[in-house]
Amino acid sequence: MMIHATKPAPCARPPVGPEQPAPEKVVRLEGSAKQSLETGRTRLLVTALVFALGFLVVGLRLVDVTVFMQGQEPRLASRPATVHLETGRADIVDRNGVVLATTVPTASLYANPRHVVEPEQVARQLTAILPELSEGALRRKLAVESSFVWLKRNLTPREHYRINRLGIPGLYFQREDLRVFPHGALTAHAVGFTDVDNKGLTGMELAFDDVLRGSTRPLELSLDLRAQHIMTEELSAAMTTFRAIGAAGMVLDVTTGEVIAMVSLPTFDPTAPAEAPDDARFNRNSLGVYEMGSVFKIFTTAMALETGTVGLNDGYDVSKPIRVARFTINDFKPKKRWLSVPEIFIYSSNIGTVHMAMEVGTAAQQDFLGKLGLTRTASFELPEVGRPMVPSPWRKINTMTIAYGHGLAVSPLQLVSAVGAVVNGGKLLPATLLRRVDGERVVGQRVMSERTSREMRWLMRMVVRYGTGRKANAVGYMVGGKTGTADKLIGRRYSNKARVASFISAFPMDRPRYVVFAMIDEPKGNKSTYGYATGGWVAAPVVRRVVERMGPLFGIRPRVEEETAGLDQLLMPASAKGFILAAH
Amino acid sequence: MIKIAAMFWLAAVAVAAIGLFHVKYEVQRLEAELKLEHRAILEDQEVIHVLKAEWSFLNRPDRLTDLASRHLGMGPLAPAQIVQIEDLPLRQAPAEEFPIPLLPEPAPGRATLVSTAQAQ
Repeated sequence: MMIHATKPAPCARPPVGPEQPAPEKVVRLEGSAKQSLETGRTRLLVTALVFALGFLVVGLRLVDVTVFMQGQEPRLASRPATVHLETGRADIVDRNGVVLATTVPTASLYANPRHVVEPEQVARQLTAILPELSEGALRRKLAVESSFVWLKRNLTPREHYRINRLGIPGLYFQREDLRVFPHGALTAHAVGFTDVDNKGLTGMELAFDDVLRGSTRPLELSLDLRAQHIMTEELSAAMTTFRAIGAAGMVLDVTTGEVIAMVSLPTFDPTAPAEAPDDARFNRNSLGVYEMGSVFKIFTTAMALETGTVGLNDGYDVSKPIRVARFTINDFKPKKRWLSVPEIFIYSSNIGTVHMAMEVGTAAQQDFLGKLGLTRTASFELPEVGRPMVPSPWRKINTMTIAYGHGLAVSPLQLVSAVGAVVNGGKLLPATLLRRVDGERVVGQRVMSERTSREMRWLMRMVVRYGTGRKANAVGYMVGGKTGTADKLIGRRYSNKARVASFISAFPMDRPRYVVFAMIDEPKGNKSTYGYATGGWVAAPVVRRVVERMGPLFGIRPRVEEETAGLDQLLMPASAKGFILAAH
Repeated sequence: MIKIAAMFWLAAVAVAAIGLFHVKYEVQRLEAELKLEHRAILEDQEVIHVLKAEWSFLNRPDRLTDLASRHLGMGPLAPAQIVQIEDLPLRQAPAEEFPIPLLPEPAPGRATLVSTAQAQ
């Protein structure tokens, strides 16, 4: 900013003569005029300074913002969120990630009849693609005076494409979500099913309804589809052979409590549950309670050994049936002599087992079975869990009958977890249908000593080696188990025709990993079993085949040579040394 | 002097304006493109999702069992078929000399694996 000093102030006019040659233009100011000029000059200077300062600040700020602050400044164009498919309901997968239930988008076909020009031709074209629709019905639908009519819900992608390609005006597609179960009936009881609005109605679909709705992460079940398939195949084969009305089977990992397979037959198609009879939708494994019969001798024997009431070398005289009140307790195949505890177990003697239970006493029996979780409702993920039928009051006669598995009805789920505790070293693990995280340590409750568990493993192995469960011997896999045949309660009395044959086993017995359970409901004996329909004849072969097929898949090495060379001898507890089976 | 400066600034403003609009339209175009890409990704994900369901359906154990037995002649594994590596017999004679001597010519008519298998 320049201030020309030559510019004369109006009040200060110097005496300038035109004729004077180039006299310097000298400004002379005097008095008040000079004063006010100085004031103006000062003001201008101050203003200029203020402006200069202002521009400097702006400039500095500009440098600050553009050079130094760039990193911290938020970017206007934010990174677009990555897109994710929202299906509205998470998948359910098995322990290996095989999809058991998923939601797929489908198209449903509807029409606006007002916009359909030639209903006859359209009906003909559509029936060519959708042969299940009748042409007449379609024509009537398309001729209706309305603006909306469903033609078909949930088209397949191929149908969708072909109808779309026809390009018929007045036909429209509505996008819908459809819950599909790729493995259908195979896992129907565990997975459950949903209603038309994809809301869980049974099984895990109901138990984890909220979780499934709110997430996109698949729900991992503990089931292994391969084991499930093997169990289903073998059980249905047995059902056909013995003309049974139903069957149930479970495989449980005794080290984690995970349910590996859970099969209830007959089963149903989860996409059309309404068409299935109630019997098919009934989950025999968790909801059904049964008197299990002789498999309960596992618990009676374990109890007697645990309380120290008997040792492996003790025994009882089983030659006489036990009479109590109006009942007579007898053996299926009486041995009529003194039997040692292992023999009582191996030959499944009711009389001997009752003697053992009576010596232990009612209170101890109640306590022991309670600790094994057999007298209270199992805690399990599925909503369909049956309450055990416990006698009340628990009298002496109940103690006797429960000793060999009558008078106390439990679900296969309870039985399997309790046997898991007997063989795994004495710890009861909560059974679960959810896959445990790898390496997760499961806290179990000790229900018996390591020693009793070891003795029971040996006894169960002996049953399969020499006793009633010989048909379950999958050579090389060290199977141990116990047969069970229970008469069914029809009305108020036990039927001698309708029975439940079962077999519970664990393998490999020197270091049990899996409990395998098979139960056949109302089998009828045939020629190949000489008319017998007992657990040893009907259910034990199922277990053998399941173990033989499961073993290689689950990485359990068969030890055929070791087993024939006397691997069983290593199982024998020290307390039983010198024990000889009388029959051998 | 003032005129030149003014022209310069005018030109600068014009360039800046053109540049701004150019960038703006470019961003709009890219955003539209991004939207399309997102839609394509979603469609692909949906297709993959359906294909996963179909894959699971095609892997039904009973179907696989049937296919394996019909086309490959396979069946459930028997315990006797499983052998540990340490159970395999050791090499008969250790190779003493190097290079390894050539294998003798197979005698004519000697059964090979193939013909044995066919004969069975």
